[in-house]
Amino acid sequence: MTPDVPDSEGTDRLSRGRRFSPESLDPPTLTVIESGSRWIKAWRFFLAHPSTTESLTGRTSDHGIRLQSLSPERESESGAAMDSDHLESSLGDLLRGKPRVAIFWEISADVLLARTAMITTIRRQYPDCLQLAGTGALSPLDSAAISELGITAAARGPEDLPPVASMLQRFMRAQ
Amino acid sequence: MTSSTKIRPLARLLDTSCCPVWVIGVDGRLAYASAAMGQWLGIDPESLIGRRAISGAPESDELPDRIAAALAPPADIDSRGAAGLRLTLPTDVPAAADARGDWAQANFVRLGGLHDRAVIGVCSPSGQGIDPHAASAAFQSLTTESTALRQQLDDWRSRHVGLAAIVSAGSSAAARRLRIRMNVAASLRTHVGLFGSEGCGADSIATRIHQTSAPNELLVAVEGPLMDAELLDATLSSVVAVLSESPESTATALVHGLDDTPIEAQERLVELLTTFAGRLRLIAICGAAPKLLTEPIEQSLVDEPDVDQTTLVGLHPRIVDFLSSLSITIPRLISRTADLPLLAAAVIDARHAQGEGAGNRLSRPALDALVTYPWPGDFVEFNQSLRHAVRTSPQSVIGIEHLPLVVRTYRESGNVTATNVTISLDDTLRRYEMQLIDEAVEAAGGNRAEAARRLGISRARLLRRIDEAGQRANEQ
Repeated sequence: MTPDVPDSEGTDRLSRGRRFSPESLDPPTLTVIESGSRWIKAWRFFLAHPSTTESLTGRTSDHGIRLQSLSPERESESGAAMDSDHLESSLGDLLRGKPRVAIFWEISADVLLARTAMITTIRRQYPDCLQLAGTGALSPLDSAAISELGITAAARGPEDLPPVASMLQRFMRAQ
Repeated sequence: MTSSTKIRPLARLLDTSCCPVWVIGVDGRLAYASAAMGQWLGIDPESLIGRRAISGAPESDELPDRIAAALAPPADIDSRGAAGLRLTLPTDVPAAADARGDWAQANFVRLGGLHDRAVIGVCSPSGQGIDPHAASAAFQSLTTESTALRQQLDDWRSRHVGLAAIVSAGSSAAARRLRIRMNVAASLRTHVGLFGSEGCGADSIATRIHQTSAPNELLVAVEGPLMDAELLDATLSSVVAVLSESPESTATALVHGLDDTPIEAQERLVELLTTFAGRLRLIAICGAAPKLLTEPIEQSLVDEPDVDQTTLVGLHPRIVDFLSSLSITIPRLISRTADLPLLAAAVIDARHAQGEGAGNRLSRPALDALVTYPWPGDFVEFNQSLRHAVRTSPQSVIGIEHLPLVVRTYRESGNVTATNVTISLDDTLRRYEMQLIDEAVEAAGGNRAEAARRLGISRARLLRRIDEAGQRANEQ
């Protein structure tokens, strides 16, 4: 993945002082990377139903966030499952030059290492990209590790999404 | 749950499995039996703990002793590492029909060496569904994955530790003082506040402090400005779980942008730091000159129903108390001009050693350009610029033409481009902000409180912006 901006080594992630640029007017985007459709359905629900988050946060969720999904395990046009290089390349296309983007990773024990490697790469190359995760039942040590490697918030199941959705909206508004 | 304190977290995980799992310690006795063992065998798993698990050699005729002996691994487990075995249970096991007097397929994995080994056994009560090789592979991959994840984390921290060494390099007084404070923080396990401008490398310094002072301690990174109290709880749940598990356990919360963290989240953090006093450490990264919320102001704002708590930012007085343990101010690069040649050499060496490009030293004009550039993005921008230079230079000497355009064309007057067009960033941002506010007020049918909610700001802030815009219009 070749970034537009040089590698920042992940320092000062989600920098607080944003540059004003025409790209910031692009619609904010959340890309859900999962093997099925469980999380994208949940995100669609929680972002589309203001009352769900309103009751928790006291504010509306007039989000305007574009949702898209990417399934690495699904076969690509060439007939082969998407490998990590292909996934990196696809994500590079999604992230390049777009400041208001977030990625939601479905992380299970069998893909933990592959995902954390990619999370680290994205954090280094695109430190302004917000990374979230649906983790299931990870151990405290693994949960702590993914937070250190670049996951800002994690949900064990869709029931944990409302506060994460509110945070996503705060993030998109702050851009 | 049946286990000693030390293996509680693992035991809890295993207890959720429907498959019976047991662990035989180095003394050949059962050290752990999962909850599913009770359902499988119809006896209290606790009664098995400490019983000798050597095949054909029960310590007595008591049923738990005979069951423990039946749970023994094959005699050659030490040489094989992993093995499958059909267990034959005593006929008087008071359990389900498929266990009583029947056989069950078990798989064993040996962990550790001869003198510190443990053997884990896992079983399918019905004798179906577990392939011994798959089970062994799963166990092996469990330990392999944990090791690999730890390795990823170590690589990540090592990278930051290296960057922290570069950030603090130099012979200037500011660099020397920074190193002294970093060494003090690294030698103590105490709350630390890092204060510096954006891009100053505080992340790397924080990681270095943690890695040196408590390398094996659980660390959770928190993006403060995006938190509210509920999300902070969720993010720190792993820390709370570990700290609640044992009074000896410790953990660290690394909070980015603590001075921009909503006050309600800071209050929750204070509660956690108080609850786990001495065991939960805070490493906070703040701006160079954070706003302090004094207690009278805070109270008046809390009492004001119209103030949105999530947008109230600044450092909570109690947080300031915690950070008063040790604070480190990270100087801006522009105040360390004398250090820049050394820092540049260190960054280029590191990049070149990683095989990122041919460039391995700076030409004089390139070095002059680095020294006469103000580095508004501080160390991160410096690092990025040199990475760009190393990558684009076709030969070992990096020329000024290999530096990013903004660096090599900088003039003290501030005119970066050859054009004479002057753009006021503040005015542009104000106009853009007012445009958004106007649109929101219009969309809300003139209801300013609703417009403020839609914009995610307090009503007071929205009104202030509208007033300021009105005053500017009058002045013009």
